[in-house]
Amino acid sequence: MSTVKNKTALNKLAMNPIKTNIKKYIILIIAVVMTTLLFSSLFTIAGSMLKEVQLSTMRQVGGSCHAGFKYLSEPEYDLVKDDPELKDITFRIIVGVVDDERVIKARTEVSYYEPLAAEFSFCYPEKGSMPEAENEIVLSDITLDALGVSHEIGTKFSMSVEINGESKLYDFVLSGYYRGDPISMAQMALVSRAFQEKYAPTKQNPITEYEFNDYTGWICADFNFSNSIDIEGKTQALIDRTGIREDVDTGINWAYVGGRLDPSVIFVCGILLITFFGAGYLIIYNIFYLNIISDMQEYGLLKTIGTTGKQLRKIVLRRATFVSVIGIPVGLVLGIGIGGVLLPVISNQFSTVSIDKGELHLNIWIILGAALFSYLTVIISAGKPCRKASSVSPIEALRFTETRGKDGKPKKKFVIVILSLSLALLVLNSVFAFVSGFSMDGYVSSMIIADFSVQDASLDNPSVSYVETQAIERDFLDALERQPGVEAVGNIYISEGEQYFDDATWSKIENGLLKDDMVREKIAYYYGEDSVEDHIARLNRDKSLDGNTYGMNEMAVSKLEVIASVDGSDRIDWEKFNSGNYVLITRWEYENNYCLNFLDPGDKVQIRSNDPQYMEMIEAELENGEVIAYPGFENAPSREYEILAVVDIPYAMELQRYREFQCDYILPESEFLNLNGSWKPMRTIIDVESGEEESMNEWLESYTTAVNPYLEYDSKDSVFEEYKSFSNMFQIVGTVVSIILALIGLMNFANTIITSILVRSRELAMLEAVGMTGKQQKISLVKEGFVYFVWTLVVSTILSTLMNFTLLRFIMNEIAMFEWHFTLVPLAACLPVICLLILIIPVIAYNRLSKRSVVDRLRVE
Amino acid sequence: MSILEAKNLTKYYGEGDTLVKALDGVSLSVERGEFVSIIGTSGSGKSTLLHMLGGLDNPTSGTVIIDDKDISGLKGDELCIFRRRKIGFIFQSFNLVPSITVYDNIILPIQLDGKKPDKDHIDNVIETLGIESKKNVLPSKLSGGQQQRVAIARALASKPAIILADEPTGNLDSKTSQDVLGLLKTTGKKYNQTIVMITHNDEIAQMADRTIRIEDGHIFA
Ligand SMILES: Nc1ncnc2c1ncn2[C@@H]1O[C@H](COP(=O)(O)OP(=O)(O)OP(=O)(O)O)[C@@H](O)[C@H]1O
Ligand SMILES: [Mg+2]
Repeated sequence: MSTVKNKTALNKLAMNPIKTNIKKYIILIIAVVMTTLLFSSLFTIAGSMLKEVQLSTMRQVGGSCHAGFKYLSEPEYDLVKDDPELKDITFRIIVGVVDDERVIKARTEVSYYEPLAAEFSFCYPEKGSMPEAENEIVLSDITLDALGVSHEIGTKFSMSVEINGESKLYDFVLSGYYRGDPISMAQMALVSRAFQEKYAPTKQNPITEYEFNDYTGWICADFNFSNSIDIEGKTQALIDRTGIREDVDTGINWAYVGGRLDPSVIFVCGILLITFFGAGYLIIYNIFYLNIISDMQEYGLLKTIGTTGKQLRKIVLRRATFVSVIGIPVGLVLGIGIGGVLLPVISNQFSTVSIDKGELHLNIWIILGAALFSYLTVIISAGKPCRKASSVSPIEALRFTETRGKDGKPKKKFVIVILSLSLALLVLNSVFAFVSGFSMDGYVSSMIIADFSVQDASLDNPSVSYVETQAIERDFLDALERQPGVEAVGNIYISEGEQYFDDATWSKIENGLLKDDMVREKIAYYYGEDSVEDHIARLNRDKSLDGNTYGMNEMAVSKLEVIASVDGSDRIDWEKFNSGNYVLITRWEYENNYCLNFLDPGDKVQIRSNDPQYMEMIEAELENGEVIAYPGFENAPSREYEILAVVDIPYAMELQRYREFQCDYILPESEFLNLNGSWKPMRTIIDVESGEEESMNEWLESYTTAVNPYLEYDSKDSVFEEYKSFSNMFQIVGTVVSIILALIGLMNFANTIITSILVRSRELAMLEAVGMTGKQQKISLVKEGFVYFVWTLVVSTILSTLMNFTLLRFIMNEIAMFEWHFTLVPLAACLPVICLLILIIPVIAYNRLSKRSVVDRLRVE
Repeated sequence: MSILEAKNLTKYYGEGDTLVKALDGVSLSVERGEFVSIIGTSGSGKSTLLHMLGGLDNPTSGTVIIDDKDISGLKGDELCIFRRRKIGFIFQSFNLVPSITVYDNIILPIQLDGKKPDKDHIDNVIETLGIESKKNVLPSKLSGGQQQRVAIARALASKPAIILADEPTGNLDSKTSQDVLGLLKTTGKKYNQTIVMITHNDEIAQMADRTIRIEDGHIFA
């Protein structure tokens, strides 16, 4: 009974002032809406994109499971399948790969899948059902289209499948199909258990070293733990617990690992987050702080008549909750709405998933996080005068005035207002700088080096493990020569292998490159922390590094980027290079463009011939005593060359497969052929005369389908097209985000001025009562606003300039797609509007205030 | 036995050139049930003293003892609750809560304490003060004298042991002043309340059991 009384009294004390002071609370609610909108739109977009990238990674990897074991025999699978720590476990059994001319460009792997495994691997049939009868099969629509088989359940067709290295034609009946995603490394063909047992019986004995190229009949198990924390550790524990082979082939789904974030990126993101949070926090805090005098006096009054500190806090909490309950949902809805509208535009431009793209992935935690942050900000800001009132005596609270500076102006309030306004503008300016700095030119130029590039269809597909590096036939080059409009043709040859060094040269590498901490870090990353010394010792014994030798003609060499050369020039003198005594060398590269020279211009290296005539089978004894043989060039003759220059090979030219050192040499075409005997190019790049792009495109299109389907081509135009829409997206999103931020900045300013007038309506009435005219008051209000304006101008300009030259420059120089340049355009655009607001708002606000009589306004609020 | 005692109270405002000694070593003792009036010129420190006695402000030095309790030993909410239960304070500037009605203002301290108001008593007080017709309006709609009477009603509503009144009749005509004083004295008798009242009016001061004169922060008995 009594507590009810107490509650209603507190309720009245908390809520009644809201009714009488509705304007103040509307402004507070607007501030909360703005802040929540800022966070929720940001979080929605970022969160959904991350989710989509994760999904895309899963599709690339081919599964959503936490981890998996590859190449298990049946007894081995039985060891793990009942482990209690596993939430799910399921498997597929590898049968083979579709070996059919029609699907060269859509690699399709044949396996038996358990239904659950099919679901986890995104290949459960959407139409039809899983294969039951021996000849039933499930394919992706991509494979179906490539085969030219109709999407009709029950369709009979035959295709050639390679099982155990043997290709044969099999007859199938389509029992279902799923939507394939082109980003997946491979398409799946699901056969029945009967088919698998017949042609690829499940292996019963553990895999041995010589079977590593034979995948047929092995079980691949996929499993989930109860959560995705420390999957690596849990998998190791699973191996230890079940006693399965210690060297079992383990795959951790990197979609859950989240990649290796490097500290500078975390640092930069941290700073950006803090700036955003800071801006949001200040918007709310600012408005509350402007009301601090009236709040303190109110709390002082309540204290003098016996309200305890605890009751006071309840009152404050109730009001803060009221403001939040209205403001936060509105902000969330608006923010998520904006995020939802922008998302498809953004997502369309990223090569993430192509199915269900641009979907809003509402992460409940992210939304709660945004809401919680706004709520906490409100509570902290609203609690400030309350805490202050609690710490002093009731009479002191009642008589509270702000600490004022020498000129009688409240200093702290001034600082907070200026900071809040400037920070909003700073965020706007930074986002704009980022958006306007987006430039594809530099980036695209590394993606395309010529008008066209022709290579084996699978060369640049990362999912294919063995690629043809001598795909360009003489026929093609001859036909190309007969084409009109060809300006220049560049041939790129490659011979893969190892580079060997003599003692003197090796000691330079041993004491230079191999002493570098980053090199050790990379080795540790590849082989584990414990193996670094062993590995380096082995390198020192062999005196060799992995690396390819390229052969390039004049046109291709002209596309290389010269880093350092003997004569200091940034061009390769073709005549000199082509003399046959010189070689070009690449650099060692690690994350963030951290590069080191293997050797310097002027050094000499030997290159071993890889001419097939020198190939011999080298025998090696395994630990278990068996002897195996592998091809090698141990005794091939080698020639010495002088390093003419250190160069970078553009991404689009090289073999896009990387090993730990990647010490590549480049020889002139003729010298390459001299050394290695007959050899065919890996890639041919073509420049055409302007205006001839279209006809060349048509010719290549027909050649790579009709004449030689094993070849594939890329064109500069298609790459540009792809990136143009990407850059459009960036512009659209950037503009919208900038507009939101600009609106938030302007509203913040308007809010601030209106509040500072409302707060002083009584003071203004007193001034009028003692004879200050309305005009004089308006002028003094405008003057005051102008002081805020000038300070905001100065502070935001300084902050934005600093931001431009430090963080923004750092980030944008780091990312290839951005070109940093200094900009203050958004400030220049917003400040005049702010100036206008300063003139207009006091006049409007004052006119509205003066509708009530002076006496009315003088009364206790 | 004294219910209210001040020992060597001082209160200084500001420092250096602007130092104001609002109270400068004031000692005083009030018996239970006593009616004491305080007089002195404007700015002599009367309100300051009353605030200290009521625990509403912290003295620079000295102690206040209420009902054998040194109130400087009470912390925050303890002091607030102690004061709410023991003391009815009538402020010189009324201190009404603007957002709630007159009646709500009057019963607010009781409600804050989670108690049930004594309706008969409160109705009686309201009637004597002549503000029945204003029970349900907001304080901002009242005249100065009416607001003062609401402040008085609020102080009396919970029947506190001590009433501290800062010029309770400052805004009232002589007839109403007499009524208010009569009310204070009768309820004081009825509930054995101790009353300390500041006034500028010698005639009213004479009605008290004892008069204390304060000048420049010092007491002249
Ligand atoms: N918060 C304050 N800061 C500085 N000086 C103060 C403060 N409050 C009161 N004073 C000073 O203390 C002195 C005593 O003030 P007090 O209010 O006690 O006077 P009073 O006797 O009640 O006067 P009145 O009869 O006019 O109400 C005055 O000189 C006043 O200027
Ligand atoms: Mg006074």
